[in-house]
Amino acid sequence: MIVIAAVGCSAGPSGPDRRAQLVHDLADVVYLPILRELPPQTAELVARSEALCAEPTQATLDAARQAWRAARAPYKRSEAFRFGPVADLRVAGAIDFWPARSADIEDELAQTAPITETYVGGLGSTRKGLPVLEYLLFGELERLHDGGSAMRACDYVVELARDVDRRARELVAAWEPSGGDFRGKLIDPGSGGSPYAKLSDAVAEAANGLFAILEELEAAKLAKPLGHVDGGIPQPEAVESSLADNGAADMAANLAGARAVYTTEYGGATGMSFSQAVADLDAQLDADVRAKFDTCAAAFQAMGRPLADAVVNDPAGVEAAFTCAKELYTLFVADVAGALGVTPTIGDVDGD
Amino acid sequence: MIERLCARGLEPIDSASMRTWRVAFGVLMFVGVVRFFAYGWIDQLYVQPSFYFSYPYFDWVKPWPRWGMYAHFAALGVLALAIAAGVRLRLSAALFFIGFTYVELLDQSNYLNHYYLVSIVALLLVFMPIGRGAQTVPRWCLWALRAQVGLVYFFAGVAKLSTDWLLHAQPLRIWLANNTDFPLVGFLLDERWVAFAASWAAALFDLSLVFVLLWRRTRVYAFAAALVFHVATALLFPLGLFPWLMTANATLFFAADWPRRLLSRPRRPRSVPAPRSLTRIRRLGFALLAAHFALQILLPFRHMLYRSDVLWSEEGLRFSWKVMVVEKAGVARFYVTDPASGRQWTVYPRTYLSQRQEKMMSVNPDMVLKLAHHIAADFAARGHPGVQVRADVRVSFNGRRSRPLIDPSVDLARQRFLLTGYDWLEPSPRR
Repeated sequence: MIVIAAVGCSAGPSGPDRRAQLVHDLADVVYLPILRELPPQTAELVARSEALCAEPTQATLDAARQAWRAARAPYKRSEAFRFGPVADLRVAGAIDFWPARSADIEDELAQTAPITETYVGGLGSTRKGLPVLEYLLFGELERLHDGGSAMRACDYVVELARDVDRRARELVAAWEPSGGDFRGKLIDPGSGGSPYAKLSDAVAEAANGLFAILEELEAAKLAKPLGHVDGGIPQPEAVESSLADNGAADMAANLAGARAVYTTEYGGATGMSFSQAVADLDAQLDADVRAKFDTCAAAFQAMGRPLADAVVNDPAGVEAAFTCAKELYTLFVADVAGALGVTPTIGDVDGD
Repeated sequence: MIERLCARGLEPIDSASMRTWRVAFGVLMFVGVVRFFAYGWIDQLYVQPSFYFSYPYFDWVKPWPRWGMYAHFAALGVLALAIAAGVRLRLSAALFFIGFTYVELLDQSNYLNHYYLVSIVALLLVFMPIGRGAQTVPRWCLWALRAQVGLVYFFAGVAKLSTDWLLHAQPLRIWLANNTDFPLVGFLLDERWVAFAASWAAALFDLSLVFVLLWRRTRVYAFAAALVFHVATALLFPLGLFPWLMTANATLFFAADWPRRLLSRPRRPRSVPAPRSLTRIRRLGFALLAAHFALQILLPFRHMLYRSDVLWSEEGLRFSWKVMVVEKAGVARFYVTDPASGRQWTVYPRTYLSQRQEKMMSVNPDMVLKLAHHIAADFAARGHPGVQVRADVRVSFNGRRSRPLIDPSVDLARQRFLLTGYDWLEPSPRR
């Protein structure tokens, strides 16, 4: 195991406050390393998109598709901490507005204005980002090299990839100590520029980021496609990344990100964690949470594919994943939150 | 005896203490209103929600449109300043009481003990002649406010006489451990012994404060202790104006002329009128005051009429000064079944509620029931009349593992709100 000090950022607090250590280690062991994985992947996506449009073949298309999947993984892991720059810079909408709106995309393809960096930068969330790229890359290859609109479609793909890449770099730069230093603001609450008045605010932010992705996994990514919120009628169109059949991988990445936040374990590094704090209070609860993460990872892996078909024709595996996600969310919001006194977000309204 | 007590209640005393307190109360209420504007709470709590947990029998109390809510809070701010200045005090206090209580009645999920105290105090102020220029006040005014404040402290102390508080130091252990960055002593706050010491000290403080404030020999020390206690709680916990309100209230226990003595200004004898006679209207006034305090003493004990554990079920929890004695976290999901078609829906509370409302609802059976009824009505409006609504609610309680709060087999759409309690609650983990 690589200890936290080896990660490359400044040393942790010298005092005995384990919550300060927790926030510090989360930033250096989990948040920044996950975010730093994103730009290399988005750069690869740009390169593969350019290669595709230079020579639209099945091989270049497959490579672009693979680059799209690879770029998606770190972003989905980072969804376990959607606070700070990702919200302030509105990166989530620009990179991953979901579900994609095909009507908007087709309308964009029918336009005639030249597609440039400025043009794509000014587009609304429904017309850019990874889901729009998915729509274009996982459709028919002919669309990118045949017919009058092929040139525009290709320009669109390339500029979309470049826009995602720019956004990803902005996001990472906003966290980096050498850039916007959101890391510093997170680990030093109460300092000038920090949005957190107290350490407990920063801890609550981290916890709530975790709760939010687990809630989304249960309610939006599983209950909705299974039809649980629609009177039992499955909604395959609600499966994330269904064109690429990347929904299971997206959820697995979400879960991996959530687990990394809970355990402060990522890429072989480790640090002070929510897990340790919980274990100190209730070792069985911590063991139950860790076991549930394992069970859910296996359940996500075992879901039928393509997922959009499975929710209709082979729902048993998806149901098992849903049940596990539900139990995991309950463990966090009722048990972990209760043990740690980390209130699921209610804003800054007074108590008692 | 009652005649003598009433006559003594009518005796004039120096109004300096009460007028000073009135200024503090008005200023604090004004600051409270400013905070609602500054923090965006008017939008967050009274404009954005699509559903409100109105109180039983007060379903008719609805929020104004957005501009109306802003105007309402602006008016409350003006009235608070009028109270502070003593301008048309009775009218100002009456309008403030109505306006503030209206806001509180809009949504149960916004209930706070000190908001309830503010409403009571504003109501009492309506009947107190402590406006601008009043040099004396009847003694009963000061004693009524002291009694009201005393009941808050005392019952807050009684609520702490529990095994969780005294033998497990919960929920203070959880809360103090979240303040280890507190200046100077923060490193001690996740120590077990500190949580125990703080729990016992807080219980002793609440139970004894009124008595040591009333005794002249200990008054100054008691007030100093109250100051330290309230400043500490203000810094440690998100209690808003509560600590400052109670600090101002503690000054009521000083002698009636303490501000004059502090400023070394002699009392003005010309301002002291003769004792007034006990007219019929004054007898009625004293009777109403007695009824008010009888209710104030009985309400905190009403939880004993229920079979459930009050901190778990929250039956009899509100309006009883059980201040900061429970840490709960919950999660709720609703399951709707249409018996006609057999179709089933999972309903997540976020469909109808804000995050704050969801958190508060998830640990409170009354609000769970109210939302269940709303869900049934919403489904009926969407073409599914007569649906069954069941709830899966799990709650953790003072550091314990979560347990079901409600029998998940019960169709809540068929259950009514009952003052007598519910038989569909699961037992408390404390028993």
